[in-house]
Amino acid sequence: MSNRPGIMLTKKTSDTEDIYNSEIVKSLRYAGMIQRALLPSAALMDRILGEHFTLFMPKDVVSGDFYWVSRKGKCIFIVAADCTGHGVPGALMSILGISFLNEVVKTDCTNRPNRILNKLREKVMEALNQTGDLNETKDGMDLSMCIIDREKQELQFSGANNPLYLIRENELIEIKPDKMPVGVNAVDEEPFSNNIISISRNDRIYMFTDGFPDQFGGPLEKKFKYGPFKDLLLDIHQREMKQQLNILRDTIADWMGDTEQIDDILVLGFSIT
Amino acid sequence: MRLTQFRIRHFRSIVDSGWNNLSPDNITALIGQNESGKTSVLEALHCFQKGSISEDVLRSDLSMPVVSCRFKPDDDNFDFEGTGSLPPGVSDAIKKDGSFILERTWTSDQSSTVLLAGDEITEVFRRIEDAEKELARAALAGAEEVIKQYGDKEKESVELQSTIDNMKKEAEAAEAKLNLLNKQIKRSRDPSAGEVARRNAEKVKEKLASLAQNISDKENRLSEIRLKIAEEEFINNYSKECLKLHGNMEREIAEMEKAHSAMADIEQSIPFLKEEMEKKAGEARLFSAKEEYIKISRNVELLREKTAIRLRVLGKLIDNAELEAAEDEATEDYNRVSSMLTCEEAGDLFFEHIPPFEFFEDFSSLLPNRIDLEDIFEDNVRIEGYKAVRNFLLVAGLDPGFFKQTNNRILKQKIENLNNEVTVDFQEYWRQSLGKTNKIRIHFELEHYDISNPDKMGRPYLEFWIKDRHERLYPKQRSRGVRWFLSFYLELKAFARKNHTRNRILLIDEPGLSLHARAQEDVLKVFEDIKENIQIIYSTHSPHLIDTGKLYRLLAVQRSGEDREQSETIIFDASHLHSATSDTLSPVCSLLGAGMTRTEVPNRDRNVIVEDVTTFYYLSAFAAITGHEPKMNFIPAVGPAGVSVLVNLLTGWGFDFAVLLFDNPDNSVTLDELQSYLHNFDKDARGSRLVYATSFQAAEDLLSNLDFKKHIIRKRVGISGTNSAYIADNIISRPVIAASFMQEASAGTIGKKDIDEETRDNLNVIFSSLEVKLMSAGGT
Repeated sequence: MSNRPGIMLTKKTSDTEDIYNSEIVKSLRYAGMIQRALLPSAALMDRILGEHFTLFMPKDVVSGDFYWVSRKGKCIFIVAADCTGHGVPGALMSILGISFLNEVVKTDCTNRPNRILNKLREKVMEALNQTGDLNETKDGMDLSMCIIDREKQELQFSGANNPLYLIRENELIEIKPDKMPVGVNAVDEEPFSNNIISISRNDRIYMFTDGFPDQFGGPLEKKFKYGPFKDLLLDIHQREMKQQLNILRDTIADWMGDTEQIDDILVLGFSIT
Repeated sequence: MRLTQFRIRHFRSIVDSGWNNLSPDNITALIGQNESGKTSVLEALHCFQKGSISEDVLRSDLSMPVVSCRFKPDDDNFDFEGTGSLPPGVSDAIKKDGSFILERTWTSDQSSTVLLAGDEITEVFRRIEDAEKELARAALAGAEEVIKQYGDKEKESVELQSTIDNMKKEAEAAEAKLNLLNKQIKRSRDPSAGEVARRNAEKVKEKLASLAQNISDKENRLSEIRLKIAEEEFINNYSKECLKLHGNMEREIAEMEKAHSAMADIEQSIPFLKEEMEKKAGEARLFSAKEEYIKISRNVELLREKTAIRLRVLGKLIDNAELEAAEDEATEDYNRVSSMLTCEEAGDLFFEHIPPFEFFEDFSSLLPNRIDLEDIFEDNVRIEGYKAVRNFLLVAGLDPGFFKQTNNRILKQKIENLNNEVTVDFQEYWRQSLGKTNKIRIHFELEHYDISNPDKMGRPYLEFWIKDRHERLYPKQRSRGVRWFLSFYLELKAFARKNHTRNRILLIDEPGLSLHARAQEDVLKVFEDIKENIQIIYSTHSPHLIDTGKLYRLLAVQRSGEDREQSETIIFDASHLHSATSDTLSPVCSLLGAGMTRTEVPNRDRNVIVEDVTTFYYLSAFAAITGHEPKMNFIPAVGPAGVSVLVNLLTGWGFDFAVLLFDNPDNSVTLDELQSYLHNFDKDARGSRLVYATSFQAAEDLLSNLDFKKHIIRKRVGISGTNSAYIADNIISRPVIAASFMQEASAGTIGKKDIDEETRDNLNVIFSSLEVKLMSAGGT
């Protein structure tokens, strides 16, 4: 059994033959195609990010994780997001997220990621009629967003529960996120904060969801965890992006072994040129 | 002790008002249209205290009213324990809240009870009640089981005895048969016949042996059972007694309910009896019905106590306790539980500590021209001005004995002295608040009807006059203002006489209705004067009875649907005024406009003309929040069209100014006009004075969505568009929420640290742009 996108659910056995051919599965496969079409193409990623890699391993046919890039003027906008749940609910949320991001970045003239996240949260709350009521669902997104101004050699970062790693001269710097989602919070919503960091050539930036570090596996069936994840990135960051992608993919596949993938996995890496 | 919140259910048009906060500074105004339910709120609160209701307050579904009030003691050390023995958990809950809730509920016979309420407290009382019920249920079930088992044993013993008797008879028969067989054996000469007889004799012997064994076993069993019966005889009798006692108690309770119902029926029928004889007979029947009810209810109490103790004893006896120990423990346990207050008893005790309520309304509370003494002393409350005259007599210290003075000269002199005393007191009382209005003299006279009133001829009546330097007129001939203030003075003084050491709650329905605007403002001043010890809750339509700087005092009352007759009343507190309709808020909106014209005047410089009063409020609030210096003098126009008028005016006066316009369609015409005008103006003099905020459609858009939600609408909803669009989409009253925001900003409740970076940046942009224009305007 492979852990690659779309494979797990489509595993063929005589028992599942009927299901495989069912309308639901066909619909899901088609939905998966639509979702992939909404993600930035490899060509666009190349054009905007330059040297980069994208490790994107949805748990099911459709995914709750998504990535998004855009360019406006001299700035590039990059997002790695993890929507509540995985599979179909996560995918619906991700489509909302992608649409809202397009709308906010295009119509709002701000270049500050925290304001974009504030606005995004308003849109999610409005769309899902979230009012902080105890009985309502807390659907939303955890995400990291950065805006890079290469001219100013400046990176702005805002995170909703998800951090950003910057590796410079063999040192990993973790830019911490705000501890709240893009969506209704358990307590009153506060504004997201903006982190401004100077960047230099050859800096490596990594944005990701919790799928990789939270994956169970290994000899003791434990989570991969953030410490080993950071060590792994520190070990490989000087390699070419394609090599980094292969190492990350092989490492997580080895770690999982026969264990089921528990969540969508997304790691985005790029270097400052 | 202060009333801090109230909740009214099933009272006239009110289905459930929800909890409503009263103003912390003791003055709360109910605003709303006619028939909205303002008076119902006041009446419900009045009924909460007096306990009685009339049928016309009941809703068509006949659900009975419930009025709940939360009170907060002024003294943090208020001794809740001192109010009686509260169950564990109740006093802790009250101390934790620092307040308590009393709830008055009415039943279909219109009698009522006051309960100590609140979720946590009700739960404690419920647990105690359930525990008592469970204790009684378990004891009664135990009693039935004891009696059943005892009965089973008795039955078994009877059956055993009968079996033993039968077996003995059988044994006797077998013995007889054996004797016969033995004789046959002896007599038998036929060996085979003798053999048969011997075999039969053997069988009979075996049977006899078996019977003897069985009889012995059964007799042993019988002894055991009889021993147990003897042992359990007491508990069996005790159980029977408990069941009988419980049955008696239930029958007596049913009797008591019947007696109560009979008493209520008689009481309700009396007012409909026309003949004096019938009335007297009715009252006699009521008296005996009451006696009967009291007798039965006392008996019920005794039976309750006896049953509760007996059932406790029984429970312990079933658990094999000794009688004496069981009785001691049961009595102690009963005394402990019965010494704890029930929620009704606690309600009654706490009720004694709350401030008294008084209802002031025009018909009964305004001083009449004349009133018959008979009506006063017979408490004929339906007579116009009854309450005002009662107040007057109380303030003047007059009782019925005073009017029995036979010496006319002495009586006249006494009346003259009292007139002077009351007048001096009245003038002194209102000296600060009313100015000239208090320069009047109150005068009352005792007169008797003459031949022109043959029905009443010879009967005494009181006549009232209000005099000033020029004339002496009946109260109704004076202005309503004078009459209202005089009557209100009497109310306050009488209220103080009756309750001189306690805070009070005064409910006033439309004070100063149809008074002149200035006189209405005087009413508000009077409220301010007396609010220290008197909580005032009043209804009004008048903008002059609302303080623009204290909108937190308002509760907006309106019907939930368009059908004003049928739909239910809903109430919005000060923080949700924006949810009320503009009709409900009309006095506030009038006031906001009126307030501006009185207070905001142009200065020589640093004037900023804004398009409307809402923008004025927001800009003033933003200036207070950011501490922007030097201060700008914001001047609101009456809508965008009024901006050009103000620009012309200030230009004409030679005052320096800038204009702030937001980017919305309403402003486009104004913008064109101004650009053209200012261009001509500026060509000869100074740079452009116009700040056109192109990124913002209205002043509220200067706030980030988050700050708008946090400080303005106080709701956690998603707002993906502009704040101004949200206000328009949700039909929220802009000036009301803006005024409220300004008050909080002016009071320092919202400061710079409370707004986020996006709002700060926006304000910075606007204030910097205005500064540039003002510098340019003042710089030449």
